[in-house]
Amino acid sequence: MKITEIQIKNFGKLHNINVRPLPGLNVIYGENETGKSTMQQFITGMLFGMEKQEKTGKNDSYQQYEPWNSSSFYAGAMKFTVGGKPFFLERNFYHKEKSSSLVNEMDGEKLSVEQGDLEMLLGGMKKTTYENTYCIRQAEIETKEEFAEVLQNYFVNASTGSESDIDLTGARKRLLDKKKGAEQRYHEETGQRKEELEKIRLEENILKKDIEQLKGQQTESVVNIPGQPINMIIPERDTNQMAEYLRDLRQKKKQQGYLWRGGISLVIALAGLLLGILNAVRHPLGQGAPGWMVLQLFLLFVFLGGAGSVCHWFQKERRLKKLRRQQQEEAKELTISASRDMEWKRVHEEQEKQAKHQAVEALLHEQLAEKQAMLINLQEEIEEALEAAEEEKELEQQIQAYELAYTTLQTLSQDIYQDNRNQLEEVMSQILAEMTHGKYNTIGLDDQMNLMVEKDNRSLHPWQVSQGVMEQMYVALRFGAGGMFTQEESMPIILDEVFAAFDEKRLEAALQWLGRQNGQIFLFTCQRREMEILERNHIPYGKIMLSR
Amino acid sequence: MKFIHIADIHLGAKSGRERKKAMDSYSWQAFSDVIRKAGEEQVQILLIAGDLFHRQPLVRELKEVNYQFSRIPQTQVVLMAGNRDYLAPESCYRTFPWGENVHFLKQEHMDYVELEGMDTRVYGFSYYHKEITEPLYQNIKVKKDGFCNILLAHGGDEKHVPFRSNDFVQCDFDYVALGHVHKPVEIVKNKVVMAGALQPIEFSDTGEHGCFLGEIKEHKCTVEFIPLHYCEYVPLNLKVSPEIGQSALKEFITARLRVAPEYQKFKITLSGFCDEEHPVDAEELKKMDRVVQVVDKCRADYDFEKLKLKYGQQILGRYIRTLEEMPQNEVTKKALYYGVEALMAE
Repeated sequence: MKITEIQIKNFGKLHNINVRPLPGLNVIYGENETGKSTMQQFITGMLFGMEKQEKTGKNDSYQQYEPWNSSSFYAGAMKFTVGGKPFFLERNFYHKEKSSSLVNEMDGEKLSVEQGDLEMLLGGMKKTTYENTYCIRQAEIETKEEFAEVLQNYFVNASTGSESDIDLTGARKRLLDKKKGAEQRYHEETGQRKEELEKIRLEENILKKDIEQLKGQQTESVVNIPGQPINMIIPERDTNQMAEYLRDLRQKKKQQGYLWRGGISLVIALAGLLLGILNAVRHPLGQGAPGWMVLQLFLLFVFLGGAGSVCHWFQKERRLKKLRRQQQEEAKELTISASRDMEWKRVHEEQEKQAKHQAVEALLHEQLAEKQAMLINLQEEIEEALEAAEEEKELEQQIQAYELAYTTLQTLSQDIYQDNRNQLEEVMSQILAEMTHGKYNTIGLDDQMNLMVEKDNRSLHPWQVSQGVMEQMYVALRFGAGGMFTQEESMPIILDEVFAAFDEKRLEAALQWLGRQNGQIFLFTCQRREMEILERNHIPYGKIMLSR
Repeated sequence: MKFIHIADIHLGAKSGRERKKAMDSYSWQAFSDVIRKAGEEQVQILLIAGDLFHRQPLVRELKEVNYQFSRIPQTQVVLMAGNRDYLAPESCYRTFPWGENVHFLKQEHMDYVELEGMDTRVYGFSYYHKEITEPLYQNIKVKKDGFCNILLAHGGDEKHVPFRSNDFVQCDFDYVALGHVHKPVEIVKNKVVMAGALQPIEFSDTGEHGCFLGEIKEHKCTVEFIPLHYCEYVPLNLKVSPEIGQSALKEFITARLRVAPEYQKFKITLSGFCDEEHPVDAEELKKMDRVVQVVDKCRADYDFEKLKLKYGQQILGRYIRTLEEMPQNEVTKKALYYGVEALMAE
């Protein structure tokens, strides 16, 4: 960008000034209080606008340069070229009638400052960046603190062309936050699955115990009830033994009674007989007394009776035996048939028992089979539960993606940072070398963005070198940084009394270097020696004289 | 001779935590429905091409199934164990006493069962393991004596008896009843048929599911698909644009649900671009009735080409380029969006 004409209608102490600078080096000479700073403010004001601040402070340039005689007439215009195209920019800075117009003078096309057309022409440069780089003022030769930040951000964000509003630190923080969120949800999901898994495992354990128990029951039942039918011992029929015994006893008693009675009568009969015989011997036949005869007869009867009773007993005995035999046979038959019943019953019971046993066994077996099938199923479920669910996989991917985004940003910013830094250091070193005739040729930045210069293999801070060298270093930094912000077309450089501390030799070197630059330079000074050196070195420059 | 061909009934399936119960009853209901249908249509054969159960069957489940079969004594049921209900050493299948009309192809190698009075053989075998990698359905020798020959088979992918559809084109079977793949498809029309799951098992089992009713007359077979409408998962792809807000989206889905039959359940995929600042709330949509799944593939409305032009050498431009140069997968695609989103955020 080259400024071709500056028209100040009313701006601070400057009124109706019309200046046409050269595209290269311009020296604006004026004694103190002639409006050099006002001119600088006018240029930046034209390029970036000027806002009236709500709170009035000392550094409010709006108020500072508000014309005291007619505050409503606070305006100017500027002609410039960008990429060879001429533009005309007009601004009214008065806050109540703030306006601006921008025209492409080649085709008369009207552009809009509000819509950012001017910003685009300036390559997206912001006012702060411009003031920190291209615009170098005496009082601020040591870069403002914020410049370190601007540089930091610059190194990260941009390497060519425009700047951007990208907030890298914020972006990284956002990515980390999102990643944390995804991780939390992932842990919830896996936690749930693990819980589920634990439940199934518990079920599995219970099932395993059940199976063990069932197996135990199975073997137990086999031991207790042998598979083959047990030997059946059919017991005697349970007849009424007591009754039998009593009957026998009664029988015996009866027999004894008969015997007794028969025996007595026999003894008496025998005695009677013997007496009768004796009587008969003593009394021959017919001579016996009739009394004896009667007795004899009686005894005979008794004898007969006894014999009869013995006879009767024997008969009875025989009958009884027969009856007994009969009874015994009957009983035997009864016993046999009864035991058959019994046996059948026993077998039936046994069968039932066995059937029951078999049923129990079958049931056990079925339960076991069922439980074993359940166990296989549970084990399958465990296997499946071990695998992550869809949601988990998705979250896992998200976490990986956030991680990848974060690390990529990290490495990229480091790359860009390093690239830009190296590039800047190279440019700065070159500028410094030219200005110091090779005395200092390596200038760099430390991690806090502090300048460091190398001399005899030692890294020196600016305060460790002379005031002159220090100022040269800062100029090199400004120029180097400024050159990097707009590679396509550099912005006009404003130098405000920056060489005041330079001695003759250094000033000459610096001016020689300035003369070789392509960009437009405005060198504000209150001394004539810059012009003298330029003339002595035959360096072309535009001369703008400001007077009171 | 009429037959019904089903497969992958997955009785007892309970995959997915919440939908446990619903799934379980669907499969039993649908199965019972098929039995009723077999009775009504008086089919002679019911073919079950594996995975009748989702896992190892329990005895009580087998009893229930056997009872169901006993409802159709005129129908001969032929079944096999598939990869899910494979014949594990402890499997209850091994000892279960089936009814008279049930024929379980219990062998590990190709075998057949002759159906009495029907002049029909059904070939097949059961899975003894979860996976079978040998192509056991190739070069099957079929008896040629005028009998009607049917193959009952399960599998088709590389871990489950791999086969290609060509394998059956030249075969001597009158009908090949396949199972395992959940989508019903006639691989060779009226001849080689993948029955598909009787009812959807997973959300990915979209479309209609049911059974095949067929008839073989003089070695000519015809089949007809009979859908069963207990549950059907319908994919609903919605293209979102930044102008469509959450409530408009919900209204649209509600309207779509209203006209759809009750048995249809929806799995929604959101695609397209959404407002960067007001993304669609997928969780809220998930809570809607009859919406079983919401996959949010919406992206913020970024024009990467423009961004690359605008931010050329700056970190944003470099970031986009770096990620685009990486091997593209889900993670890098996501990372691209995440990074740009983070950098562009105010």
